[in-house]
Amino acid sequence: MHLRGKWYGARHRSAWFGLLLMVVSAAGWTETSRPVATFDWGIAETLLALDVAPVAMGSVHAFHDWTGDTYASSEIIDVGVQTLPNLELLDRMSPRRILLPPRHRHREALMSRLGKTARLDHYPYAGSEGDFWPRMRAFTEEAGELVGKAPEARRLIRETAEHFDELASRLNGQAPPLLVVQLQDERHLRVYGEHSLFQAVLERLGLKNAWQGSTNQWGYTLVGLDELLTMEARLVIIEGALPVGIERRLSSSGMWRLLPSVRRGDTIVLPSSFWIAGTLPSANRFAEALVEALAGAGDG
Amino acid sequence: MLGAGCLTLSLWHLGGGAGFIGDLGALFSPSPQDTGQLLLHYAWWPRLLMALLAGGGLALAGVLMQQVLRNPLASPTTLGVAAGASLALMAARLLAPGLLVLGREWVALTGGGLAVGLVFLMAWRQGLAPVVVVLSGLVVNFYLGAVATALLLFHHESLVGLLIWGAGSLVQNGWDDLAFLWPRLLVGAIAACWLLRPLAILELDDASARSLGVSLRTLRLAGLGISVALTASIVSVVGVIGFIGLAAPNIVRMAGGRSLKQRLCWGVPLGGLMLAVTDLLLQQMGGELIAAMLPTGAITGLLGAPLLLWLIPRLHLEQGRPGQATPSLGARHSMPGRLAIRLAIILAVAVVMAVWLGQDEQGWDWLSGDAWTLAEWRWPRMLSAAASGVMLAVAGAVLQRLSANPMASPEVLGISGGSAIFLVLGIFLLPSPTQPLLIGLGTLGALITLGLLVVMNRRSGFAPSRLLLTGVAIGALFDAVRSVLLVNGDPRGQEVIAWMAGSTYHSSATSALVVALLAGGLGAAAWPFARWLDILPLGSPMSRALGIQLSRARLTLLLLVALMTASATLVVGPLSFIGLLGPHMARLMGFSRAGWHLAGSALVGALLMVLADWLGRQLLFPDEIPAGVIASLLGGAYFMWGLGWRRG
Repeated sequence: MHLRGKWYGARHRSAWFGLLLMVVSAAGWTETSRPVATFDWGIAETLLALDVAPVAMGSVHAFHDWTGDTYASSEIIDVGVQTLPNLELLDRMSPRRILLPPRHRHREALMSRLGKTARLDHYPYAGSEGDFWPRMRAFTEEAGELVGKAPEARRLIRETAEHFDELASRLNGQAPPLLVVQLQDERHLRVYGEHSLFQAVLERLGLKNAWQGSTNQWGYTLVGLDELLTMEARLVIIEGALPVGIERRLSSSGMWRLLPSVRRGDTIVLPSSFWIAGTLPSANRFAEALVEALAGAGDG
Repeated sequence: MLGAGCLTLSLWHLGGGAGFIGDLGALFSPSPQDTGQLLLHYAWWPRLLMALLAGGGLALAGVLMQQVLRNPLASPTTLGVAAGASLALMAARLLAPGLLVLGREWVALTGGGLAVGLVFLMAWRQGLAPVVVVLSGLVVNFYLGAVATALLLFHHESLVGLLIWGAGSLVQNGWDDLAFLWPRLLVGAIAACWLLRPLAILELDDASARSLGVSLRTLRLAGLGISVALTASIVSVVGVIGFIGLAAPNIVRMAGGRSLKQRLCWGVPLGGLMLAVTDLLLQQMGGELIAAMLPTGAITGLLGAPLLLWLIPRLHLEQGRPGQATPSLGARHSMPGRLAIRLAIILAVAVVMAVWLGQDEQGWDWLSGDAWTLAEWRWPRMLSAAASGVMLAVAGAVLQRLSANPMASPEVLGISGGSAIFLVLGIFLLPSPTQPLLIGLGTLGALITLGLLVVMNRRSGFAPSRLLLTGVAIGALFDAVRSVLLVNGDPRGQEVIAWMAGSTYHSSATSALVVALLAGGLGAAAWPFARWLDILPLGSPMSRALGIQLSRARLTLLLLVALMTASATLVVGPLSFIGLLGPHMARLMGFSRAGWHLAGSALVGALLMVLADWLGRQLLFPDEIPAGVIASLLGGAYFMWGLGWRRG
């Protein structure tokens, strides 16, 4: 909260401040102190990983919830709800760039009044064909170039790749197929497959995703619990936004107790530290938490 | 005929499950090694029985409600039980999650009961007349829907699970829910049988019933109480299931089920079978066609809306009644011109405030000359808000006079809903929709709805009550489409919710000017019809005697209303009560002749909308509450107050 308004406060109100601004901008200060704005958390976390600051974004509380407060100390400016970011506030801080995912295309005209907008065409969750990782790399480079952090972006890509290699070697390549799910209530869950961050990470680590069904453009589909009964796979439960009182209701559910993974007692619950439609930083944290859980269970 | 219908349904249902039926053994003793048998035991059988039980229970609730209210259109969904339960669960999830652990059922029951109570308060003064009850239900549904939309906008991630519930899914994972539900339904059914005889007396008119020594009030309360309790317990288990409670009893009635006993005996199994068949068909089709879940409850709603449209012309509803409520609201002002000038001054003050007064991080801020860029954000929003307020209010004024019904409003006609269906589908089905494309789609939706309204109502000469009921059906269709689309928790859902909440957010200078011109033009076009609007509330015979060609007059006015509603909906979304509130307040102030009423409504509508938009931008700064939501909250509250405690 205290981060907001730290620097843009009364800018429009006083003439001498305008003068100061000119001096400062001549010294090259404003360019970096003006925020980069985005209303997509995937883009936002890539920016934060590239040390872009400040980042103006929407629904910051929910973002912190999902990312497990990884970015609690980063310089983030809250501009209201993700879907309706406050235009006047954005105007006052005159963002140096506004990065939009393809699904925000209908906002482009509006946003272009605030400053330079850029649509990230390689954004990985746009429903387009092609492999996940090449697109993710292209997206990261694109974002890096747009905010003048191209070398950092390439380093992020390289480091992530090395990190994945190291994690994969810890697994020795032997683990049962997995099912990555997110519980919605005691009868329904989202299961992640093609197009999802999680499937991409599993493949990269040499693990197998048991869910082969079709999914939406963020890579999941909503199913009833019964559809998982026949799947011989270890359950990986994403903890984010768990429904209230779910444990109790699940424990009395006949179907839940019959799921192969629950019967064996080898379900994995991953704490919330990644956004389901996240980018490289989320992929990193998910992979790390997953490998930790798999290796820690004494599988290897 | 009914028996044949049931038999076909049963055969169909057997056909749907043919592959499984052979394995009846799994019902009682599944072998733990065989996953196929386990699935049958823990998922398939409970789901089938749940469908039968829930469908039957909802039909029972519907029969009771319809009997008690002597109203063929009463049902758990039309009277707001489901919406009330839904909102109560959302509120509990956000404010006191512990309540949900203790008992979802009680939360749902309280919410549903309160919603129905509200409907009755509103319709009480009108003697619970059928159309009034249904319209009050519609208003309550709208109101609760607006609150729910606002909650969803700010807490989408926490409420995603409730969206599934709100769309009604019959997926089962054991026998727990059935074990919970059947004793409750049994108690309800026994109580209903016990009340059978006294309830049958309600088919007589009040005076005769009273002369038989029946306490009508107690009887009504008991009947409704059972009905609401049944609905709430079903809804708390499987979620909102639309239309079974409305459709099953009405189908039985159409098929010749005259007495209450017949309707109960046939309606309950029919309801169960209808739900079970729908669910079985969905299980067969779903999964193969699309990568998304098709929730049964929303789909029955989707199927039910056309059924309601089909029913409307076949129902017996009184019409052509002179509007008794119209002249009594507020005394006529002796100098409406002066009143209008005063209003205009207030509007001017509001406009200045909306553009100049705002907030930044330091607090309140009055724009000075060098911050003019901020005004460039504010004036288009203010202007769009004002223009849509004018259009909605004028449309409402026309509609209320046209239908001699103080509860008529453009939202009620369903044009907003029709426009919204197309827009929402556009956002979901187009890969990257642009703003002009969405506007085109919204207009197309409004025009199609209008066409439907005209075709459906031409034969009845655009009789007001039927017109409004058509609107109810279209509104229900919109709800169903929305539920199906939102249930899968797609991130695009948030965009849809933001639009539905109705914000002037996307206004640009150009779009604001276009909307303003439209408002001016269409508002001016309404002016010449003032004489008709003075006469039409006097009732059909009087109007005809005074030389008005009723059908043509109604059609022309309807077209005007549709155009205004569609244009306004594109700006502020389908939720808003301005069309209801503006004309009412104008009349309360003393604008009573049609010409002045139109002008007064326009001023009030503009004022309210400008205020709603401004408040929405300031209340939770930097978060924005869309103008549509604020307008709905203000308007709905006023409306309920006006109807329940004043004379409506």
